[in-house]
Amino acid sequence: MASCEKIRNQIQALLDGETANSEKLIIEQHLEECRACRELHEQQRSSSAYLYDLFRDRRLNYDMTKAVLAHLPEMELDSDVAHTVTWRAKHPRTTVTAVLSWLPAFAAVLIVVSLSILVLKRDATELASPVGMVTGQQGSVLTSKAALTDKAPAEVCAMVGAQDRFETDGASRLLIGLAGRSYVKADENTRFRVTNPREVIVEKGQAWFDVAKDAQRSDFRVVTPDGAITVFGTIFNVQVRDGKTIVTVVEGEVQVENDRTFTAVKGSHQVEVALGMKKLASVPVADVKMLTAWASTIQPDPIADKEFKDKIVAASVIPASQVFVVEGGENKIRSIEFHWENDQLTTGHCGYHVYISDDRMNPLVKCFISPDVFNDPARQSYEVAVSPEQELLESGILHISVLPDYRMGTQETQFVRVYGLRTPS
Amino acid sequence: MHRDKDADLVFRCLAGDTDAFGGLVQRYQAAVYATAYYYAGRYGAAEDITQESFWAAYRSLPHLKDPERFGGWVKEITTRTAANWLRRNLPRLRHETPLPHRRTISMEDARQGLTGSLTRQEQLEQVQRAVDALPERYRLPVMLRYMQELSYEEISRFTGEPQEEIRGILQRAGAQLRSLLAEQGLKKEDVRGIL
Repeated sequence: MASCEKIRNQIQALLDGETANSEKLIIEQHLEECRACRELHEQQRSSSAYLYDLFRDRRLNYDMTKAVLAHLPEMELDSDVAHTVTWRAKHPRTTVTAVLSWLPAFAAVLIVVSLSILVLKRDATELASPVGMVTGQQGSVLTSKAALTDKAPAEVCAMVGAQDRFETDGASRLLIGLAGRSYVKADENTRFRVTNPREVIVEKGQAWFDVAKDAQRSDFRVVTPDGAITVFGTIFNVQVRDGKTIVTVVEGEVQVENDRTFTAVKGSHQVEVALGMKKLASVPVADVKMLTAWASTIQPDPIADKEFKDKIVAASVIPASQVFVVEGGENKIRSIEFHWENDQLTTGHCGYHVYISDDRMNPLVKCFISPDVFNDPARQSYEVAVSPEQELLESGILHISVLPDYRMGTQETQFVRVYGLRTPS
Repeated sequence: MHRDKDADLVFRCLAGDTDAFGGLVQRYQAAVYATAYYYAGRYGAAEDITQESFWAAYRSLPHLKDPERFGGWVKEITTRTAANWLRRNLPRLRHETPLPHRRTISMEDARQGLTGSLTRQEQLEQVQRAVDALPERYRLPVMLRYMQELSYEEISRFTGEPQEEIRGILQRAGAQLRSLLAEQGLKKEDVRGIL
């Protein structure tokens, strides 16, 4: 008799009509004899039927061929191989002519082919999925890959992978582009790490960021030893030195936080952040261009920048950030409860930063939900208590934005419901 | 099912026979559509992306290196077309459409939980969330199978993974979806109601 394990691995194929007749007989016979497998088969059958039924509405239920063909005459085949095409049309293909037919065109396409092989090879061997590309460089810059300590020289056009670290010396600067079309410039004597296309950790030195407004995701995060900067499409400069971080915003607005609080900083304003500060106050700066003049000394290499836009920017799809609104009311909200659907993975989740603001977007409370919470397969909700002195929670509407933190994992969690829990009246 | 080989259709197309391209469209439209739906279905853009993808494929057909692997190649094109579509349109859509998971619920409701059975639209959203929670490489085969009911062979042709691999993926994905849906509190009645 076949083992249950083996049978269970074939249930789906059986339901999908994808088993050979001989297999089918064995499975069906086993199902007759084994009650446990039979029940599993029944559950799997009803859940499959449910899925088929729900998706049926969305199914493509007509033939699109006509619509597609109707516009073909307007299109021209890319012309650089048209010669080969014509030749082929005149000569019926056999295996021999198929091979021969490539010979005349061989010299012409040799360069193209070898270039694409080079590109493919580099893509395949260097990185599974690049998050960015080095698009400009002055002097020598060292780089190291995730989990490796060996440092190698960085070079223009090199792909950037998640967790890559870069270090400039007293005579070098670096520019990289990240998926989502953000740019990072590193000044001299700077060390930083790219966690993912949406997060950069500046360990020391000075870096300049240009996060495009039309980036697919509104938030981009820069982490320093003293705090973090969250960005909604803007240009700004971050300087890490002497136990504090100075953030200078050129254009747009960023949110700056330390371990205790957060604040919004507008264009032509600057804020100093250090651990433990209870209040962060931004001050206007007179000539913001002067303060960030160093960044204009390094510009993208045009070829690298084009390759970056074609390869990295065009290929990236990044999920949207999560924003919730909770209505206040008569009674004060004492806590916020987050619900999600547990994916049963016990490792690898990212944590989430939670920012709660009132209806005028004034900051109220911030907190962090640890990845452990999502790694626990038994959990699907988490309550964030609001301290009693936070009287502002009487406000009419609460804006809650939730931002992933990938330092401990990258598996994202979708929150499905967010409740405001009130003190009973 | 595949009387003409993909490669033959590709060669005929390159020789100027647009009907041959029609054959390729017919063969792959379900898969391309499901892929487009997976990326941008919630914005109602699946049809547009499907058309755009086939047009892009037609234009760059002369660059196809291995005509027998048209399926995997058109999949890449579809993914790229969908990504471009999202990049062009998401900033606008974000402001126009409410976020799918945005919800306002009073405390009374919160304590009781959601009562009553879900509407079909809500059920679909729930299922889509369950699909999104699957490992990435499971998701497309799942959409191709459940939405378009493609055979394992057709799926393998399109994703480029061996048929045996597709079989394993759909087995594991099926089991995960069952338990995800069970946890999401999918009520027995919901299932029975439609069977």
